[in-house]
Amino acid sequence: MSLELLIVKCKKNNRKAQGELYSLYAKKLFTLCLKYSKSYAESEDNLQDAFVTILSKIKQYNGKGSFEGWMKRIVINTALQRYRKASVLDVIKDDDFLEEVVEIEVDHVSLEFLLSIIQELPDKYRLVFNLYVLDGFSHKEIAEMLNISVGTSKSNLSRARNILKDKIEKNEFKITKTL
Amino acid sequence: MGNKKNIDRLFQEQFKDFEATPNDAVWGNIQSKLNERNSNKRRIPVWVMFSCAVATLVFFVGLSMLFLPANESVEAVVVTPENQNSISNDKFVSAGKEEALFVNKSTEKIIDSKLKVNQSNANMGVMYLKTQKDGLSNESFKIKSEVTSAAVKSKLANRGSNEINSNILLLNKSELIQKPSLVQNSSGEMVNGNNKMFASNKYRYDVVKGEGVVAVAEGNTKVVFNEKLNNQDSSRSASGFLSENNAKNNVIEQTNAIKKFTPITSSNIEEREFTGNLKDNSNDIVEDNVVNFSDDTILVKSEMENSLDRISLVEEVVIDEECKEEEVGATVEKTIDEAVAELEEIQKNEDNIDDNEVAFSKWKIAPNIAPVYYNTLSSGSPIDSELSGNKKKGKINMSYGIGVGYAINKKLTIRTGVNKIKLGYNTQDVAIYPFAEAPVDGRGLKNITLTSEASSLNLSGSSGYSISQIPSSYSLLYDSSLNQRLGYIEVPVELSYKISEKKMKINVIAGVSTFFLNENGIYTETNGIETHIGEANNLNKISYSTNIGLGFNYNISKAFNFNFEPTFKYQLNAFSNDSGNFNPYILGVYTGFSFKF
Repeated sequence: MSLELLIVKCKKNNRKAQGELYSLYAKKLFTLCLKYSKSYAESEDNLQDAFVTILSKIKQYNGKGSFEGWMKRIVINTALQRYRKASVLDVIKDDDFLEEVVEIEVDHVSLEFLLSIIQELPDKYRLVFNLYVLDGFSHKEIAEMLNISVGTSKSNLSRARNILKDKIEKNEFKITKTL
Repeated sequence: MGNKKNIDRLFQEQFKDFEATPNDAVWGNIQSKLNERNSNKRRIPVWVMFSCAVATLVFFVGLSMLFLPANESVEAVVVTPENQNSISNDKFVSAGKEEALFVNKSTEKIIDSKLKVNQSNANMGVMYLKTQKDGLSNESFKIKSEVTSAAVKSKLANRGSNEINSNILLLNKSELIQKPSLVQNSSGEMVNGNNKMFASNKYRYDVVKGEGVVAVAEGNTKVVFNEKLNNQDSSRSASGFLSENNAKNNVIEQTNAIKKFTPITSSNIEEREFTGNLKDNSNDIVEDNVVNFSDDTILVKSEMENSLDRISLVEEVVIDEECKEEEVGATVEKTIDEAVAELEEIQKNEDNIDDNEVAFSKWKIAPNIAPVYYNTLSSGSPIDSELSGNKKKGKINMSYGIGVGYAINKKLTIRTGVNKIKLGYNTQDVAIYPFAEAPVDGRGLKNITLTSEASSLNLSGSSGYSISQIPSSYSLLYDSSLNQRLGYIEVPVELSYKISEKKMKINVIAGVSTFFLNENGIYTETNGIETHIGEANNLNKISYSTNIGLGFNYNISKAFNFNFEPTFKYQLNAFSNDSGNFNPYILGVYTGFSFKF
């Protein structure tokens, strides 16, 4: 079944089509959830909420732009909503953060490890890091999405990078020690 | 050691092809949530529609019941020298009770038709009509009747031993309630009706003295809508329009016009001194605007059609401003300041629409007024079990009060307030006769403490026997009904939960009310004439009710809402002992404005 047909059927509330859509995209979207959440359980909650939103608002998808992008946007919004509600996005003074490049020497690093240190990041750092580095949003867009200033977004990103770097380095150190 | 790498790139590369499989249970949860959502979607509209239907029905039944009984009573009580004979014939003779109290009055002699209009009680202007009557039987008793919904008390004073105080319905009750009036009585005194009670309603009615009482009763009332100055009218309609426009967010063209002449008016105001009289007038106008405001919102559509005319009116006001009356300036200035403030608010609102974290007002204050319908869910009677089989007819009265609300969060509001509420119902087919002539099985009704004037009366539910069975010697038998009247100060504590966030907000309201008894009376009603005979002795001074309702709040501006709340209140312990399986409830349509701050 083509994606277009699937979407049409989903718009008509066809439960089978909805299931198909889910199995088609669950993995990709779940990955997204994992990055934006603190834990596996929270990611599942997010996926669940996001998919309910997707299926109940699918009529609003007008075929412009990629369907996957549309869904991703909903997943990200759902994740952000959680933290907007919890108002964890403290305002940080607009320092002039230069776009610094954080470099790191790595040998052995697993995806699981990277995911775990992302999840361990404080909420505001995690969100900005994900949005900017992994999902390609600009600081301006991030500032709008999170209702913070561009400066805050930049500073959060910089702090996130440094925290991640420290953790990776410590990990490297541990690994080299054991080797 | 490995390669140096940009940390961003490290993550990007690693996550590029990353896929993880969620737990299978997630899809199950999604399905159940979707099902829930679908069923909710279907359930709410039916419920809302049902509630709307009930509310509308109650509203219109309420309106019609407010007007209809009043008309009958007006007919029943028009007693003047000119037509008294015919009234007697129509009303009393036809009732087949020539021997009865009111029939053989020689009422031509109205000795003292001094009219006193009493402004003390809520909706009573009381007029005393003293007249002579003779030919009554020997029993000396007084029937003192009061008609709370009406305005006139006529006192038929007998030179001999008999005295009848009977009340006459004079003014249409609903008129009194809805249009507190300035009544001009026959002796030319100006008497303030119940303006205090309904301060928001400032329409003035001049009751023109035509044929004394009759004129009033027949509604020869002239409505004067403060038609003092053309200018006032124009300013009023203009400002009413402006307010309405604000409510409708139709702002752009008007904004300029309003802003343009605000400074002119305010400077004019500063230069001028008001006489007391003029101030009063301007206040009236401003208050009129409040009323107009609500009217206009209803008539938005037609108003909009006239919008162009109105704009030109506004401009005329500006031009005329400097050389015309002060009141105009006062009105225009006030309303325009308000208008500008509201415009700014609306603009702010629009800016904030996309922002999820708009600050919201926590407190609100809401005066309300409501027609309340009182009746029982079962057939019992709290007066006496003998009356439990009798038909009961609920009555519509008014409740008015003020409430405050505190928003716990965006959806949940806790609210309380104080309402003054009057309730009443009617027990039909009750026989009344003097105690001395009571049938063997007759007895006084159990839960009434009779007044001294009525202590010689006996009452009986007439369901047990037919009136024709009572020997004709029981000359003072009445085929009457009993009205029980209650008045309370009500203190509700309610939670309201918002279920719809549109321009028209819908809330579910639930809570409890505490009722403090402040009025207790039982009246007989015979041929449209009410007689106070005593009070119920089984009413609790403090009682409670459980409340449930639906609130419709229409945003006029950010801070100002119009509320419409049909509410059902089930009384829990209104009667102390032996409530006789009487389960009273109150159905009210609470209407008013609320102001958030």
